[in-house]
Amino acid sequence: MTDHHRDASDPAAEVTSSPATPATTTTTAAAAAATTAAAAAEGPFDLEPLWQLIEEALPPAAADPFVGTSMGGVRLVRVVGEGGMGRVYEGIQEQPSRTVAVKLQRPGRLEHESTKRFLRELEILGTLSHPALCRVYHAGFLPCGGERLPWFVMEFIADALPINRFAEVHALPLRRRVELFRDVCSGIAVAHAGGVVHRDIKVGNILVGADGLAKVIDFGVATAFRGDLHATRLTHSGHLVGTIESIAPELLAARPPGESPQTDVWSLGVVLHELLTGSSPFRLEEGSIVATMERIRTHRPALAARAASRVGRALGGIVDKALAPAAADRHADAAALTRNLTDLLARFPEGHPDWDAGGHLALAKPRPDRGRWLLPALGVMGISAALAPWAWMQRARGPSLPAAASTSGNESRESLTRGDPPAFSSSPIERADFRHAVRDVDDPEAERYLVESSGIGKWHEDYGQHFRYWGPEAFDVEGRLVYRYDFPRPSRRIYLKANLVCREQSLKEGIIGNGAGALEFSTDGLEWRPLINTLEPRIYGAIVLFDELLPDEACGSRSLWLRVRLLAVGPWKNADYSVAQFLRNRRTDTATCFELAVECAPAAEGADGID
Amino acid sequence: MSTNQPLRRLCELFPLLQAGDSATREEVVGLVVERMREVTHRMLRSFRTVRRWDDTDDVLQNATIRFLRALEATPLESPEHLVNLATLQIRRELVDLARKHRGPESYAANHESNSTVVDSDVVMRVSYASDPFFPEPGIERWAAFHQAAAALPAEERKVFELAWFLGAEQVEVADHLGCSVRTVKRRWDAIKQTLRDALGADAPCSG
Repeated sequence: MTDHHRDASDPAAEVTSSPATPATTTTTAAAAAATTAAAAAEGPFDLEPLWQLIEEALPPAAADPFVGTSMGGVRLVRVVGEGGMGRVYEGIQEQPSRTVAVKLQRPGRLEHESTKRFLRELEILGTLSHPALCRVYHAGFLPCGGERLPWFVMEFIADALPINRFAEVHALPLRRRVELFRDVCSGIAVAHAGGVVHRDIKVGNILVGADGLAKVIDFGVATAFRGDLHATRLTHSGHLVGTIESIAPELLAARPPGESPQTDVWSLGVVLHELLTGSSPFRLEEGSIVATMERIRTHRPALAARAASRVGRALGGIVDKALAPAAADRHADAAALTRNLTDLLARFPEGHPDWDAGGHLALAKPRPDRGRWLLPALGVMGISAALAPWAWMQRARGPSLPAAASTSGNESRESLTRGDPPAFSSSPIERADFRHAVRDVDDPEAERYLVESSGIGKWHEDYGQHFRYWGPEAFDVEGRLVYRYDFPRPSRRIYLKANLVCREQSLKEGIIGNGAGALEFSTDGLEWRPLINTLEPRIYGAIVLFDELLPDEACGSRSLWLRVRLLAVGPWKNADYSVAQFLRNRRTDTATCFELAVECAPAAEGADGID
Repeated sequence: MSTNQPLRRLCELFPLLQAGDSATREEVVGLVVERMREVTHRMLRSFRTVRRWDDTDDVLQNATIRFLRALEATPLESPEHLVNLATLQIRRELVDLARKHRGPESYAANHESNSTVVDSDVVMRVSYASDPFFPEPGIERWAAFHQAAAALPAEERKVFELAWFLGAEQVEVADHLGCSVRTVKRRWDAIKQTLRDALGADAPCSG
């Protein structure tokens, strides 16, 4: 701290800067106390009053409105779990009389993807049968405020604990842990045999009940790796599914392959590692998410080499194989892993001294190598599909642009209009490259030609401002659609949010729901002002959020990027109404919105925090 | 944050970052994401509506990716610029969280009001303004708080952002802004009062 920070009038400053005098003990003690106080007073801000200001008006949590109601002959007793998609209740079934679990989808989540995932889980669980997989008894829909919420009744796991917690709480011996895990693998093997990959295997999704039986839960993001099940990958390109610590390295590649049973084998290897050693080989706490991803790609647990007994070496070998960097080097599927474990259990029967040689943890705990796996700077850019979409931002600055797009002026227009339209691959990255490159073309005519001939965008102008609009061909890392609007001058910062909600039932009843056919805009992302609030009778069951705008000033341009999230697609009664159909139908109307949007004032200098 | 003085540390790291040091890049991202973790954790603890849709790791994953992107794309010219970028990034994430979960466009709000739960066995009327699972007007207050903060006078807003978003200490802020700690304290008191007035709190804001 520099001297000018200490005002003469600041009592704390006076105390700390005055020479200590041995006059009296009291004085010395007072000075010491004051010094401590001064140090505290110059330390962290006390943010608690501000938090209290925010939180003071929070209402108490409301009781769940569905507890006490019945569906399909089951009375819901209490909530036992919840996730983004819905809640799980404990229920009492009348006939036959038994305790069951009921999974109910949340209201307001009936958008295309969420509902499909929910129903897919039902389909998968209904198709597969194994003691380690929850059995589904029956299913139905609950009418709720114009929606039909899907639910299904399944096996209830009493006093369930995640498998690692169960092993810890009951101090399971090593052999019992291996047997329990083998049972899990055998359940997953049935899924694999049925053409299903779970995709989110982790200790939290393997529950063990009071009866000591393990059950694999949450097939909500499972997918088919063969074409014989109507389950398909429901996430958009580049969107990682699963928990980062359990994701196989090949899925972190810039262009990940499709899921295979070996990706589940990897996740099972992570679980087994945790069961044997008490910790995950890729713990998130040890670094950032990015560092964890890099660790997954580079770190090899090598448990066999560190094991203290023959059983330990054999188990370590199984873990090492399941966590092999190349999918081809792993067990072919969960069945192979099950066989491996069964062989081991047979080779070292119960009572074999090696089972007790190292206590319940026969394997040495891996040493944390915190901080030794920092990323190479450029490595960051290549480690994940999640990071790929902005790579074009850098590449587009360089000379490797599509030749047609990197020209400008009359020359470009002549050459472009004479030649064939540029050819594009189906790669979204290359398409994005092209879109970015076109931005640097000076001549509007040449640019227009490029846009229209590309077939991947749409050109608009004459809305009082000149701007370019690209169609929704690209997805970002979160699976949102990416739109770009260029407002060359003056630079604008605009947030747009289109809320095109209009339910069929509401129309029939003459009720206009919240924000039906509404478009709002904002300059700060907080205060929203309506632009349009008319009912659009042709639109129903769809919600589009233009929920972020990224000023692209850093790239030397005044382009604006909008990230669009499609929340729901309708109409509800027609599940075949696809996202693509919806977007095709909406293009013209969406463009109309921007005619109004460009009327807002230019953004204030420095308002975004970069002075 | 891994350091108690994130602001000072960011400024120290700036030359190394400029030199392209990869470990520095990791530390800078770590500083920002760790602060995000602290604030987000508290926010999610308070707002069940938000917690329903996002957990801390989701938010952090998003923040990490965005911040890496910003670092890569933004030509940084000074330590001040780096601090501003970090602050901006955290602010965006937190504001986004509120934006996703408030207002008529949010997940929770997009279902019929005054609905009726009907089953073959039981008919139950449920009246809810937003979400039948978690009615939560509190998120509006979160948004109002940041809106009021954005309207603070420039000098106070700077102090607020460094303290609230970056978790900086008072002495660091004073150093960074080239003023006395006492001045920083005075601005902090004014900030609290302004925000209290803006949010219509009854009691004086102590602390």
